[in-house]
Amino acid sequence: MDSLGPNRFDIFEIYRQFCELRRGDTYVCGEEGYRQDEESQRAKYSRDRLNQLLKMVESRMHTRTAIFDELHKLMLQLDLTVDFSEFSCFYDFVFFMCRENGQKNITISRAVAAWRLVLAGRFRLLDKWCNFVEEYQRHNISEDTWQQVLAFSRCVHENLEGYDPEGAWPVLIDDFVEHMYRISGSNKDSNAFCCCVDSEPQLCAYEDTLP
Amino acid sequence: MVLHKFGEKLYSGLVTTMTAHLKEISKSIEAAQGNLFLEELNRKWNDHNKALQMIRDILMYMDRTYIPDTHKTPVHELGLNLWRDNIIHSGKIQSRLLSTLLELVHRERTGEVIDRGLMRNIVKMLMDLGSSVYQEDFEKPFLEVSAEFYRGESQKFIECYDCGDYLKKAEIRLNEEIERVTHYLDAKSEGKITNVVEKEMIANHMMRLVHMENSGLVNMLLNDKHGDLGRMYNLSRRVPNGLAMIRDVMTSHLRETGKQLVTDAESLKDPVEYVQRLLDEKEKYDGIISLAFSNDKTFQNALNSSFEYFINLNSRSPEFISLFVDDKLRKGLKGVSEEDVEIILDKVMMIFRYLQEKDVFEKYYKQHLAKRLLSGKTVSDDAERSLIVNLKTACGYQYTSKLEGMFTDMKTSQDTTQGFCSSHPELTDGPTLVVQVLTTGSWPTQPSITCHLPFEMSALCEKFRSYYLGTHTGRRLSWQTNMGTADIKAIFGKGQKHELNVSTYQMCVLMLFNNADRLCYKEIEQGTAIPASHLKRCLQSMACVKGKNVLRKEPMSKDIGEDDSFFVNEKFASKFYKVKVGTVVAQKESEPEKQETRQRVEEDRKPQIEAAIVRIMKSRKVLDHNNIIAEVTKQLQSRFLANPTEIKKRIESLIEREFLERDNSDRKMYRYLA
Repeated sequence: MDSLGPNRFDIFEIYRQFCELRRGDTYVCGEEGYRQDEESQRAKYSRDRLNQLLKMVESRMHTRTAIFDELHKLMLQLDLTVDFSEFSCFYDFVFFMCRENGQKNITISRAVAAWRLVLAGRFRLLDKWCNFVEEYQRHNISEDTWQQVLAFSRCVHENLEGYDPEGAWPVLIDDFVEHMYRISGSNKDSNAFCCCVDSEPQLCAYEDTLP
Repeated sequence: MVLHKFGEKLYSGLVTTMTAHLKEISKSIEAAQGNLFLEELNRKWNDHNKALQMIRDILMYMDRTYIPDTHKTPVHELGLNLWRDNIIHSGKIQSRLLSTLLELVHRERTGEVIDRGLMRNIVKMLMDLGSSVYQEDFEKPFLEVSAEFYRGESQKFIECYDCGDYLKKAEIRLNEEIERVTHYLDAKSEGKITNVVEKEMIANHMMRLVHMENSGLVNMLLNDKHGDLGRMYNLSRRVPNGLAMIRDVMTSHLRETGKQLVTDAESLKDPVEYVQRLLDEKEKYDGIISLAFSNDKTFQNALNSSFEYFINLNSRSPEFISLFVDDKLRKGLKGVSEEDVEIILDKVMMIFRYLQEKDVFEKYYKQHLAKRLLSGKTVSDDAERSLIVNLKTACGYQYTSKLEGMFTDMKTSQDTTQGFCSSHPELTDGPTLVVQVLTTGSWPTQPSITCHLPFEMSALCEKFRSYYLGTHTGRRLSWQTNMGTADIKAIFGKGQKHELNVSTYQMCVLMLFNNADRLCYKEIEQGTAIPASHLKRCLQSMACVKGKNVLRKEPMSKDIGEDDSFFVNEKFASKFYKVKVGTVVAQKESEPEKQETRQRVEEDRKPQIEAAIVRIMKSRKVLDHNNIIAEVTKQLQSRFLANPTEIKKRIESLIEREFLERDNSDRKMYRYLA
């Protein structure tokens, strides 16, 4: 953190710190009393650090709308196709960067824009998902929902195969699946539904993400 | 001879002689005509037995020494064997004996009287000759013939009798066969022959009997034919799956009629009638199960699950049950003995237990109880309390704590009012005030704006306030003018005196007319500050209801307009001295009100679900998604049926607020964050 100049906004540096915190590298254990519930202490510590980081980010950033440009810049530099855990970290970082004014959740418009940026080529139902969220969701997107969307995108095929109704998905995802079933049920020409997804150049990218 | 080693000669001599003799006998038996055949056989058998006994006595020595040494058949048994081989198994006799016996049974079945003594003797003979002889030479063919007989007969019966009569016939047949066995057959045959009858007469026709149009099980249930139902129960218990079939048919019928009952638009109009019909239905089936189905547990369970199924089909059931209780506790129980009250309330409790949404019931019950208590309309304090005790036993302490709080408030309010009156003795001539101090939270209060009370009243209220706060410091009193009542003495044009029982709002309006003859709507609204919707309703009840129209309005119409003017109705007349105006009787809720209550209930459930999740997670620390849902549902079952989606939403909200987190490696696992 100290390496940053007082007014510079360096997305790479922030991302580096974020990843470190996520991995728990910076946490120094050894003080007496910490051993008993080290786990929760560690979690609390990294939460605090993340909050500090967020405050710092906010203080440095003048035009928040440019955030997606910055993220895009970062995304091009990172080699996200190799390692899923790397991508997962980046995905969470995007949520982190989208948070405003210390709020825990992010607005729908931001979430949708962010999804379109990071999940492009990685989630075959991306378009439908974003449209659905824009149309039906009323509340902001929580971190849990954000993270679960990534898990959902990885285990569910475009025909919704692999979706388990008892799979502990957030309600928003359940609603989405139900919405999709309703559409495909009413629309007898189910081929059209599949085709439009296949025509996107998403197939190859999807395979790449597998570790 | 045995002593002289002639045992062998003696024995074979015996065999030859006896065989020859028996051949003779067999001829004479064969020669017997018609009915005499059995008699002859029986007589010869008796003779043979006697002779055999004597031979055995004479040859006793041989029996004791020679025969055991040479492993030959003892004399008596030898005699029986020879009888069997030469008489019973002799070609002509064997078949004739069998057909004669079966013929006799058949004749008895068709109503003729036969010589049962003779039958018994012959059958006894067969048994004496060994159980295999009895089984092979009589029992087996007997069962086969019986099966055929009953197959034919049941076919005939089922074509021409209805279900009830058929079952009667079957029962009679069954008893006849049992009786036959006790009279002249081997006791071991009972199970076998009843099996035959059960199979041929009941099991094979079960389906058709149960579903028989206009007389089958459904018809019996509809017409409370306890006798027939009992018969059906007892008979079908004898065949495999018989009871299960009856139970299934009863269940589906009950569910169907129950569903009709709870969805029938007609029965929804009157909540009291609706619940009464449910109670009647319950009583009817309780009667059937106890009288006809010998209190079979499995049938009781089927009954319970069916009621639970259809009562919850109608989301208004909780409201209606509470209204039913309200009706009973208001007026319905007058003149009814205490035991009867208990009985009715017990029955309602039975129905209440079937409710899944017990919290909705509580909500309505609280509202209705509040109205009863505040308007002093409850008939019996004991009945009220016993119901609360019942609810407590059914749902636990927490469920009724607020309801009990309401009773306590009533009691303390009485004391407080008394204390207030005795501390202000000067108040006895003026208007009196009865205050009910209600604990916030226990009562279903709505936030309400206090209206302008008439001067006399507000002064009184102020006095009470200072009295109350003088003894209870640190409390806050607010007046719920929307819930009170007042008794006013009024004198009309020709000097008619009446005592009017009105609500507080109505009292405020009427008091304005002490100083004015004519008031327009706006003036009244200004003078009282009663919210418009309430004011309109209260004016309507005083100016537009015949017999209660203490006010007169211009122009005359059914509805209250903003420009209407009001006068005291000088011509007001009533047969009674006391006139009740616009009583607050609990009514079925209107659609928007219902929606509102539903929403409030949903809101109230959220913290309960969250509390349940936290309770569970606190003890388990880590638990997977499906188990949380299952446990939460189970924990809340006694109050309401938690919706899985709602539970999920609560979990998400708890994750957001960092009470829980998902496991890093398994996203279906939740972890409790202390």
